[in-house]
Amino acid sequence: MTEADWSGDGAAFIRAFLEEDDETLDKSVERLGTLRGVILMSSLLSVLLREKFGVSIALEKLSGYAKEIFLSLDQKPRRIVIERVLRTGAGHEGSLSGLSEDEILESTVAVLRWMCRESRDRNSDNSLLVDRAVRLARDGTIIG
Amino acid sequence: MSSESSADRSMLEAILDGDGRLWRQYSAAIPGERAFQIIGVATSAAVFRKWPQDPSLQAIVDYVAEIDRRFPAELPVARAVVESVIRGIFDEPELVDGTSSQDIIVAEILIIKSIGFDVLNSEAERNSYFDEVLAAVD
Repeated sequence: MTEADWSGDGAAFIRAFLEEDDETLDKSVERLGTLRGVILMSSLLSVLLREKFGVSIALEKLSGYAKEIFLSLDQKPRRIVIERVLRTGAGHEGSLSGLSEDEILESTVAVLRWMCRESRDRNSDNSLLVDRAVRLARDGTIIG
Repeated sequence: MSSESSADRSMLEAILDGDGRLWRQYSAAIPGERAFQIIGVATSAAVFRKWPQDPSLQAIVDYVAEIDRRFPAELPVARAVVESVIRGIFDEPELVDGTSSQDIIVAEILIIKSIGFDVLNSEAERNSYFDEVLAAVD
C-alpha cells in the first residue's frame, strides 16, 4: 500500500469510523481489504485508548471501562471479550488467545463504535486522531 | 465409603493427576449434574487454597498465562474462559455469562489440575482437599 493509499483510503476509513459514516466505511473496506481494515481498527483502538487513559493503563482500569461499555450496549458481546479487546489495544500480549475471529471482530466493532461516540464528545476536530491512527497502522508508531 | 462417594473421589484424583481418560471414565459413572457440581466446588476450593485473600487482577492474569504455558496442548478453551471462571469465584460471576458449560468445565479441570500441582503437595493435603469438596457436595 502506498503512502497516498494510507493517507487517502486509510484516513477515509478512520474518519468514517469516527463519524459513523457507514457508506464511506463500506467503500473504504472494499478498496483496502479486510486485513488492512482490521489493522486500521486496531490502530484506532490503541489511539483512542491512549487519548483517554495515557500510555500505561492498569488492568483494573480497563476492566472497569469494559464493564461500563458492556452495560451500555444493546447487543452484548461477552464482557470478558470486550475487556480483552481493550487489553490488546493497550498492548497486553496474549489477550485474545483462543477466542474466535468472529467474536473478536464483533467485540472490536462494538467497542470502537462506543469509544468513537465518547471521543466525539471530547473532540470537535478528528484530524489529529485520524493522523495518529493512520500513522500507527502504517508505521507501527504513535507520534505525539 | 459408598460406591458413589468412591467414584466421586476417584474422579477428583484422576483430575488432579491429569489422567483425562480416567476422569472421563469415572465421571461417566456419576450423574451429570453431580459431576458438574463436584467439579465446580473443587474449582472453588482449589482457587481459595491458592488465594485465601482476593487476588489482584494482575495475579489472576499472570496465573492464567502460567496455566497456558504449563498445559499448552490442553488449553482448547480460551484464556479468557479460564480467567472468567477464576474471577467469577471471587466477585464477578456474570463474567462467565455466554460461555458454554463445556468450555467452563474444561477450564475448571485445568484450574484444579494446575492449582493442585502448586498447593497440594502431600497425601494428607490431597485427602483434606477431597474431604472438603465432597463434604460440601453431600
